[in-house]
Amino acid sequence: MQTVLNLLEVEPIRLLISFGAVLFLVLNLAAVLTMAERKVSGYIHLRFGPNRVGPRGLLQPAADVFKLFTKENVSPGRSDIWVFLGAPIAMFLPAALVWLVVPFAPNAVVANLNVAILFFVAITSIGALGVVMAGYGSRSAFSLLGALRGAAQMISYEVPLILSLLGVVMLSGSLSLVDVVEAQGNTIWTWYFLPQLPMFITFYIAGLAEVKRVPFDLPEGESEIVGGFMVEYSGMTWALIQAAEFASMAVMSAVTVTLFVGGWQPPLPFLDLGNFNWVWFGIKTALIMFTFQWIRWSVPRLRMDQLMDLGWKILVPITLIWLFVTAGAILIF
Amino acid sequence: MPQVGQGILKGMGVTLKHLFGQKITRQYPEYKRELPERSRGMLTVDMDRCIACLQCMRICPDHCISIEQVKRDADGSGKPKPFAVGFVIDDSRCMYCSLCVEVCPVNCIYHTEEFEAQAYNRLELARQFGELPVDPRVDPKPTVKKKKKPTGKKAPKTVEKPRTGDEAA
Repeated sequence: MQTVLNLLEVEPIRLLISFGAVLFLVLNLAAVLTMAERKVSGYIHLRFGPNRVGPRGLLQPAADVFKLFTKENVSPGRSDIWVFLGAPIAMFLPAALVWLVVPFAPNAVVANLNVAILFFVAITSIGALGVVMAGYGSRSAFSLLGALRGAAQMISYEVPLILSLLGVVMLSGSLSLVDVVEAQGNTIWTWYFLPQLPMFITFYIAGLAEVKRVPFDLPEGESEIVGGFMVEYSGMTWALIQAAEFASMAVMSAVTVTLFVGGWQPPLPFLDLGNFNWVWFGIKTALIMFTFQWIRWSVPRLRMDQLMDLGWKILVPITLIWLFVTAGAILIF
Repeated sequence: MPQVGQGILKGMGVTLKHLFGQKITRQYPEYKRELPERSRGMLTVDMDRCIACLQCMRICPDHCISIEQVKRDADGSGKPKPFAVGFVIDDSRCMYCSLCVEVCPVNCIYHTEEFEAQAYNRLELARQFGELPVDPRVDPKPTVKKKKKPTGKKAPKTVEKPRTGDEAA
């Protein structure tokens, strides 16, 4: 056991093993989260959700994956086929890449970049490219409408998302996610979500919009543009888009936890689990993901102008004001 | 300002209450609701009482009942009476209108509480009740007394109507 643990310290082996673990996590997240989504939706509707395949329906994701793999992949006749097929990949890759810098536990991070927050911001904004590619490549009116909405929304909400990160960066004095977590300390009242409460709420809302979840699912817009940018996708390409959405949702929750809710830090010092502190990280991330799903089944979709108003007229001013408040507080104390 | 977000919070409170609330789903194959009185399930026939009057066959709008009728002295009275040797109800055609039940003079055809019929083949849905099987594919032709043809004039030739498209499909 000790030799195995020592092996984890050796550089190329540690990188490969952690990379494999992250890959395994990302590829399975979509299936697990689909299951969770359907169960939560069922319970909120006073239904049971899927409960026929396996014990309590737990094998449902396997059945879904099997179905999607055997399904034909249809593309529209006059679509731009390379752009059409490239779009799901362009959506999935950014969501998967951000996991490389998310710290699960003190040493459990694939790459401890000293500019991890910058990396996160840069990579998540690539996600908009996939949406535009999907809408353009499908050559369908609904797809194009969805893509245009997606581009407008994702680029607008980048601004409050980045601005709300700056408070944390100012407090911790570092762009590395590991340093941010360590600066937050192991008590619940020293985590950043208390002094940075407006920033936390802004980041949460902007993150919700960034991953295109309800109430900001205008690019998808099921009731008006029947699926938006993904209306022409079927089979595994559709599954990849779904996987990308769930992966980016998970990544957004993980980054929220890392930046504001103390990452792997236990809520109270005596709850420290040592090497198993990743359990705390998992619990917090799961809670945030649950609130994403809870909001999805409670809140109706915003109109396009309301969405833009919320982003530019409310969230950006709030972040700017709190940025000054934080700067002043750092200067004074 | 104080009421900002109150509506959302109220709604989320409701959904949270539902999340842990009692589920109202009834799991169908395990739990079966009691059928209402006079519900119309699949038809069945009491062949001992049937007098082979063919009224059900005649009234059926879907032609789903076929009866093979013979004269037979079934009750030993020395007088041959109509007897149904073959009786088939084709459930793939039946629309549960209950006309046959109303018309039966001896109440021998009636609805059961069965309503789950399934088969891989349409013909498997035809249920035989008599001694001899009756082919359900043949439309039953009850003996109808023909009207006397109007003598003298020939019937006018039927003019072919232009196709409207309704009969296609």
